[in-house]
Amino acid sequence: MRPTGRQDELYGDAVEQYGAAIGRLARGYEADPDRRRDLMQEIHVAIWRSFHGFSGDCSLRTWVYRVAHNIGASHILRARRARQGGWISLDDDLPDEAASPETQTHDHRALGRLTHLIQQLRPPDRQVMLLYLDEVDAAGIADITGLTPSHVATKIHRIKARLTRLFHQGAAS
Amino acid sequence: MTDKPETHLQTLWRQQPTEVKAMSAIEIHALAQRFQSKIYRRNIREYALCAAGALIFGFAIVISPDPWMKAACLLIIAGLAFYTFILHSRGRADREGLRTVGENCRQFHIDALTRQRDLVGGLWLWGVAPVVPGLALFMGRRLVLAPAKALPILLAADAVAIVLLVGVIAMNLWAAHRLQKRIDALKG
Repeated sequence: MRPTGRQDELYGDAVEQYGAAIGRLARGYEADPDRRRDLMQEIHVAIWRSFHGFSGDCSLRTWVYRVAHNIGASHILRARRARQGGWISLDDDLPDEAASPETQTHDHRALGRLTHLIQQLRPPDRQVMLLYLDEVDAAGIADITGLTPSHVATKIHRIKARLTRLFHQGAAS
Repeated sequence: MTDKPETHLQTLWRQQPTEVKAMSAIEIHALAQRFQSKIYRRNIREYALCAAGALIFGFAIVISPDPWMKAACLLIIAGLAFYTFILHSRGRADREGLRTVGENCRQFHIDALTRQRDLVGGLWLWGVAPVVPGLALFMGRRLVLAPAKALPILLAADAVAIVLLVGVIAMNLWAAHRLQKRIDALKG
């Protein structure tokens, strides 16, 4: 594959606009800082390579999120095979260790619990949750994930309920 | 706090510090390699064009009986020589440097992009301006010596040459702008 100037330019734009979002996404897919760095690198390389075939049929945002989430999902599928860990759905309760109170502020605790929750979710739920948290609208989420808008709406409804519960659990702890 | 819990968590999530990383070292190295190869090919092409130009104007010196035309051709050759010298001294590819750069590849590539940005951004001064005196004398003298009926064609040819020179300057300024964008992206 021969890189093109346009590819570099698109990659530059993607990092400028979505670099922070990719960082958050990686945090949602990998808890371990070292492995997260590797995942980030993998995502960036994949995005850069993918621009070789970017025809502009969808927005830059949709493209970047699609590639990044695909890599994230592949990453956790590999990790699951390696670690034999289980996932939860949006309707399940958090494992006990996640509820243990941190010693920092309420917001910090809430963010820690949220991150922990995301890292336990099944890949499709995790994708929707991460996109919702990044304030991507329902139509955008449907476009990126390939889910139907009604399916996305149902998941967002559950996510909101889940987040409200998590927030109040955090406040009570 | 008056936000809904989910909105507040969205804000918390988006505001958390994250590492905005640009590109892996491997990819940077591939980009730098490609960039250096491009510079190398560009320079070979430019050297060849300058050599061809020097041959043509050198031949014109030999065959032209007019001393002003000879002087114009000589000035153009001197301008081309100066262009080649600057291109070689400031803009040559550093492929050997890339092979030995190791982990500082990002900085190496940023430096190379910066050098080329400065070079192409200043082309009007070091590349075009030195050729202008000879070219102006050549064009002017040719108009003086030419028969009257050939004047419209010669004037049109001169106009095309001037437009081409202006176009080359504009394209190089645009290239400098694009190089700056690539430098900014690498610096994150």
